[in-house]
Amino acid sequence: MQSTSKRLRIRMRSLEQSSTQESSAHIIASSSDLLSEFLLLRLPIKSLLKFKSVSKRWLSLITDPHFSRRKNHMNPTPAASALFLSRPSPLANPLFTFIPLDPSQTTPPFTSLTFTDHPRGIEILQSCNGLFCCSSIEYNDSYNLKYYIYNPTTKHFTTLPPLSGGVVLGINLAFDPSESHVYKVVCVQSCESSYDHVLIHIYSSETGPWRASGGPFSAPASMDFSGGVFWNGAIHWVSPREASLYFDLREETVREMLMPSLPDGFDERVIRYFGESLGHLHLVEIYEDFTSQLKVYEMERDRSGWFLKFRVDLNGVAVVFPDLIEGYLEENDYYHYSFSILCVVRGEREEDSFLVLHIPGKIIGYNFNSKSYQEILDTDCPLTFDRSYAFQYIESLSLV
Amino acid sequence: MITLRSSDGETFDLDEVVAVELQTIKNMMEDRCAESVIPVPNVEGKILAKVIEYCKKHVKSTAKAEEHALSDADLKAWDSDFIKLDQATLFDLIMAANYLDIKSLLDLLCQTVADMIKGKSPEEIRKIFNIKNDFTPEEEKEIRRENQWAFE
Repeated sequence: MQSTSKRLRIRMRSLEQSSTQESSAHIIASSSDLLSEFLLLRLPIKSLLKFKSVSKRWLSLITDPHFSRRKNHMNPTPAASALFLSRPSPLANPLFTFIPLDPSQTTPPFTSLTFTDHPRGIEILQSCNGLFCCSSIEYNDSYNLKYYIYNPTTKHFTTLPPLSGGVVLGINLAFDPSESHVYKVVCVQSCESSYDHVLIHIYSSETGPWRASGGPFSAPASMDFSGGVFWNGAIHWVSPREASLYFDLREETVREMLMPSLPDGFDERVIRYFGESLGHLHLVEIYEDFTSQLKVYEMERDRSGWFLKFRVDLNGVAVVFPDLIEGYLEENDYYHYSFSILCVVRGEREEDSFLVLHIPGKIIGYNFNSKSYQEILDTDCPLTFDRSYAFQYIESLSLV
Repeated sequence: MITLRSSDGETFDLDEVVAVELQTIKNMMEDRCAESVIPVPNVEGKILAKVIEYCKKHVKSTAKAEEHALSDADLKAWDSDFIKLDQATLFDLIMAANYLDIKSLLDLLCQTVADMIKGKSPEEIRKIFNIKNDFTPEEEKEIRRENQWAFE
């Protein structure tokens, strides 16, 4: 810090000698270093997007990769400020309902994805630390799917190179701006030569084209490779019946992910939420229809197991939001609740962590610590138990 | 006792304990090249006065002497009053705080100005910084279209 400001001071002195009549404001704006250091880096991203149109120099500064990296360093793991809820519409481009989680989010960056033209539209596959992995929608022609990496804040996108080989089982984005500005995309394809084996290819934003990583490996038949979650340097996939796996991007190895033991009488996992927030990996499983307690588990940093992090009393939620109740079993005094978990959002401070729940007709926020509720939005978006229809939105200038 | 002289000849006497808040002056003192009167050629009298006012307040707050120590809340309140200045003065202060290397003052001033301008339109920004719009109307329209939601 000292050497930087010394450099700036020297540069400033020479500026001052040459332009004694100019205002301090103009002097600051004339120097890219001073402008970035004093002002641009301290502005919210939305303001920076507006100020792209001030002048060519400001545009160049704000879109500069070095600038976006410095901005990321100032706030390495921002939490989601909103969610996008996908509403498929069979004949048109899917619409996205914007769920603001922060008062600063007053306008959605988009309502549907139109950054490139496709007759049946574009859908989001995954959100990862500010970037989206998207694909075109085709009904009969899954071999011609196009995949994109899209920054919803800057509206810039890149088209991934085409894939050859077996059926694509999943495309997953691995991006951690606090570690590197480079993102990687992990593609899992079925192995053409062996029906129960799969193969991984990796694309890197730095080194380019798809390259095979390791050889074919045997994969559980029930594994959903499209629902991967990136956390702690690896893509994690859960399997309902067999072993869950994770792919470590540093070592490029596939390992088994320890999961909580199944309760007695169950041979299949019922996963209601699996996602990441602010560097924590969360899991919610619900086995009984008439459960009144929602348990949020978090994975240990060293992946040695899971621990109970938050507990939600659904009976308490139902008192405030009776729409949550779908059925009532009088003889046992059990309630059957109808809801979908959209996101477990961690706060910078523990007490700011909350749950985003989709109940019939509403999106609500529930603070784990204070047990207080907030109605976020009324919505007629239908409830679904498909895990991947809510995507985190994190403002970012990261380059694609 | 250290004496600073502004670009327009005003002099200011400072206790050493205040003078060391200005890193540039502190370095000069440590290098033993501090004369009896230190010239500050880049900074006008009225701006230097403000800088010194800030440093005096902030030194008192870190003093061990309990009766002069201000609580964090009081200091924050004092800072909020201190920055109620016109934009031109704030920019002059930023330049001075940078030259004299007073990190806490520089951070306070920069964040204040950033908060003042964050809601402004690109046209207002150009006026404040005396910047020429070098986009063609088509170019400007395209950039605005791409980032339209940020304007709402």
